[in-house]
Amino acid sequence: MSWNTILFVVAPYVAIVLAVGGTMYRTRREAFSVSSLSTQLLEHRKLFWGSFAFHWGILAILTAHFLALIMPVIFDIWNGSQMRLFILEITGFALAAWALGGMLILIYRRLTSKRVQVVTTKMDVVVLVLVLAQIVTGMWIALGYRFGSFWGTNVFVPYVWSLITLRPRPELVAPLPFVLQLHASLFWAFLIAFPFSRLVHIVTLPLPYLVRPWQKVVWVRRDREFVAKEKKDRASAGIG
Amino acid sequence: MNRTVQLMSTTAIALGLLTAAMILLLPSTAGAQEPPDGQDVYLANCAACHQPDGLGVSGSFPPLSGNPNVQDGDYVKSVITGGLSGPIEVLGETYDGVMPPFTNLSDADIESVIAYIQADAFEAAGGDELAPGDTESGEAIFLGSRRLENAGPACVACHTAANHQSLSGYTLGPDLTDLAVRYGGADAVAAALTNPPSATMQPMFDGAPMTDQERADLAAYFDSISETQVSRSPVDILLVGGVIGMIIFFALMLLAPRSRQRGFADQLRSQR
Repeated sequence: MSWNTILFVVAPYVAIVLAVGGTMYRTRREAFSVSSLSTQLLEHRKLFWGSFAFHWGILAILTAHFLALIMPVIFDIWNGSQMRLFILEITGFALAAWALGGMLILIYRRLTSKRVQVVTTKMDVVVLVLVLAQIVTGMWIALGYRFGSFWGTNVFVPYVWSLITLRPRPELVAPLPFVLQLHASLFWAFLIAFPFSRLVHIVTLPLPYLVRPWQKVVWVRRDREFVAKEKKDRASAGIG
Repeated sequence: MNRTVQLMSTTAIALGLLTAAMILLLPSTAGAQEPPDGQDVYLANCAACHQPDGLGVSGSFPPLSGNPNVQDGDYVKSVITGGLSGPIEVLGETYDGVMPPFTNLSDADIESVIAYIQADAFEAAGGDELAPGDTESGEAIFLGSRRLENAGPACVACHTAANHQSLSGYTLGPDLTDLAVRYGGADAVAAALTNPPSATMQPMFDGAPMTDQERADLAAYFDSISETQVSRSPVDILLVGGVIGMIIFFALMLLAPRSRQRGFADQLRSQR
């Protein structure tokens, strides 16, 4: 079996099954462990600049990847005008750079904040390295092998659909430069790490996180009227 | 921790089974088929450049008819599987085209086509001439503003040419400004586009071939720009534009409500 088959036929299926199966198992059997493991209570000033930039940037980029997968023809038509192609590519690169900036702030924060370091696990480091590598290779591709939004619909989109329809076409990816193959392979690594790390919080669709107050404190206290009523009841019953 | 280990082992078994099933299924898709016809393989893969009559294109693609080199079957097989570029001399004339490796052909295909070439029983072309191409239409195809009929990708997705320099940066494929010069004329370019000459392009155009008119239009466009002096900006506009965009995005974060920047606990403290 060639490396090509291992990386672009076997690895994707292994990764997808692990990600789906592992996540289902974890959400059903260990529901309380499904968490983003937020450290905002420990440090939140750098977190705002890092987390906000990273999450909004990466969400926009991932959405663009997903839209290209489900409606490649729209991308081809959009990119048929040079001006629209340039706007899409520059915006995409800016969003990626925004996400990268946020990620670097988050890494700096994790390296410098002692409070955050105390709760940092090995898996957190793996996730940081994986996501950082994925953003860097993606930007490298955007700069060095343009225009990904245009050729992607004719290389990666048919490749991913070939995986989904169980008729893998690794020959689409096999002749591509190393960085493009690395970007694809890192995604399988990302999927494999998914159910075993804080990455699972992605499937919880935390949409309110994008607009809610940065930190929410929920007071756990008993209702005063309820307490007063209870006291009265207990007194009239002759208890205590 | 036990549960995680249990999870991993259960999924690992499932994965093993799935992967094994996949690998077992893969060869079965090839199936047992009738032996390929050498002429069919030739017309589908070789005739665009070497011509149906086997006489090739002067200066670009050498003739196979009457060519003594084709009698060496191992040599022909190595050229088909590995491709060939750079000048070669055949029957006293020099040819400088580019032949891609034909990774799409099976061993049986290659054997049958070698037998067909060696038999030198090529049939005359007859009425296979391309209509003259339209330069403007060719440029529209290059840029993707006119989509290829069979939905193949536009050239500009991966290539630069003439004054279309992809924001002055690196592209996936090479610059095509002097393509017609390298191939030895528009006819050779049109012929080569039948089977795109790179392993990256071949699977993209597999099942999405260009029509005769599209090939002729593109060839006319490449012929018209072949002498263009390319000028590009020394600055990579994608890089600079992207960095400016990033700064704008970070600046926009200053507009976020102070509650998001400071956190609820800080607000409570400041109210004391």
